[in-house]
Amino acid sequence: MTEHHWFEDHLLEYATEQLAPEDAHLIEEHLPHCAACRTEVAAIREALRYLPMGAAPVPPRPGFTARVLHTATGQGTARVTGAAWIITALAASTVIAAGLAWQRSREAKIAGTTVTTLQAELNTTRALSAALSDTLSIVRKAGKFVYASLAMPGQQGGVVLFADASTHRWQVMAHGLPALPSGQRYQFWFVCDSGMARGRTLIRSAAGSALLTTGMPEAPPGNIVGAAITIESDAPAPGGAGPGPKIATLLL
Amino acid sequence: MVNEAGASHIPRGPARHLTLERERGLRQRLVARDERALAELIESTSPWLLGVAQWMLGDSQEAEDVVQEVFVRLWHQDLTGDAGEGRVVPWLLRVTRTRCIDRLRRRRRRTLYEGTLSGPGTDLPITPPQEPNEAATPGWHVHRAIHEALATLPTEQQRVVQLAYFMGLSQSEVAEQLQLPLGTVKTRTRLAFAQLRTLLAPMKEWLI
Repeated sequence: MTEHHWFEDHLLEYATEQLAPEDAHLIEEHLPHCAACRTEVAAIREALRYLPMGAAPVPPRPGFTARVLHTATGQGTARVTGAAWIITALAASTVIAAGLAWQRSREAKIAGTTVTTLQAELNTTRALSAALSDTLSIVRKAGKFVYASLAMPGQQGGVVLFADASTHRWQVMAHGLPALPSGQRYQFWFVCDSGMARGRTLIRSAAGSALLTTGMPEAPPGNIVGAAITIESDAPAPGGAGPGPKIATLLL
Repeated sequence: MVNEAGASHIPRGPARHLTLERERGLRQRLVARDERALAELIESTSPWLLGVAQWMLGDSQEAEDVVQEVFVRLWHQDLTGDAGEGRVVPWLLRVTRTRCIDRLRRRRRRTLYEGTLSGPGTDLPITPPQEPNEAATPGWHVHRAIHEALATLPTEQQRVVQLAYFMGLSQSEVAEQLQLPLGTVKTRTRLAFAQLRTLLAPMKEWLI
């Protein structure tokens, strides 16, 4: 059992976010049971609430408000459109798949197709619908998401990663990816604290977007702390097995 | 690095100060999912959020990404909680700083496989330059008051506050950087923040 003095001694560090995560967790468990500590944390935060404004203001770049607004509300055509578009496309494809199945079943009835054939088509549609719902569930249940702009001069695209801690799967959505020269591809990597583990290739659509659902690698070099996307050559130079130029890094 | 002089280059539309009353109104409109309220809040606060993020991260693009994440989180936040009691601006400032600290910690972990560490390298200037048109920069008087409070601290306490609060270092890292015993760093930190609390707490009606 941790002595109450320990909590009192660390409230300032906790309230100003200087405490290590494991110690902060101890205080978070303690606060619901201790009104005095809750009051002290609130008082510290209240007194220091504007202290970050000690840093001088920085003018936002033109279009910043519109980009943030579009990202937050999921509308418009700015950076977020990639993610929003992909989600919409997934939902739409589910509806289309169901519609096609219905249409086919109707045609099949007209043509006198057997019940067995109809059942097989229905099962296929159900499987497709389940797969799409499963993909969307990662986005809906994601405990964390991280966004990073593309580190490519002149490009406005970005990558968003949704991490579902319950199933240990990630949904990666990229948009604004420029077309690559023949012989090059976009490569997904897991960033670990002792190296990087190669993931799957990101397949770029004609519209410049990419969608990837992935589980965790089996033997990562250390704890997984994020992801990266690089540009790789289909024919790497001899001995050049390492990651190519990095265009996005997402750290959880 | 934070460009102190850059404050004078903020595009000036009609500068709208964010009073507490207007902040409460914006919160109510956010609860009602009014996107124009979010736009107004972004316009009013983003220079300060970008300021702290860019100062801590030393990277303008990453700073924009952090501020964007914070506004996304606000939009999806349950505004009946901490951010919903008329305290939206302090919430934005605190979450922005916390997100920056998270990124700095990850960045330090990343050095294990990249072997490099980038970030803020110089101290926050304690005495800010005069803004030529302070009235046109909503919040500048808060910025100035904070620097006046910081300037009352002994130099060794200013240094600890800079490293721990504005650069996101843990107290162990501060001790290592300053080559001081951890206990000394803790003592200086407590004295400094006690002084800042005393000086800053009475200013209840700060506005941006």
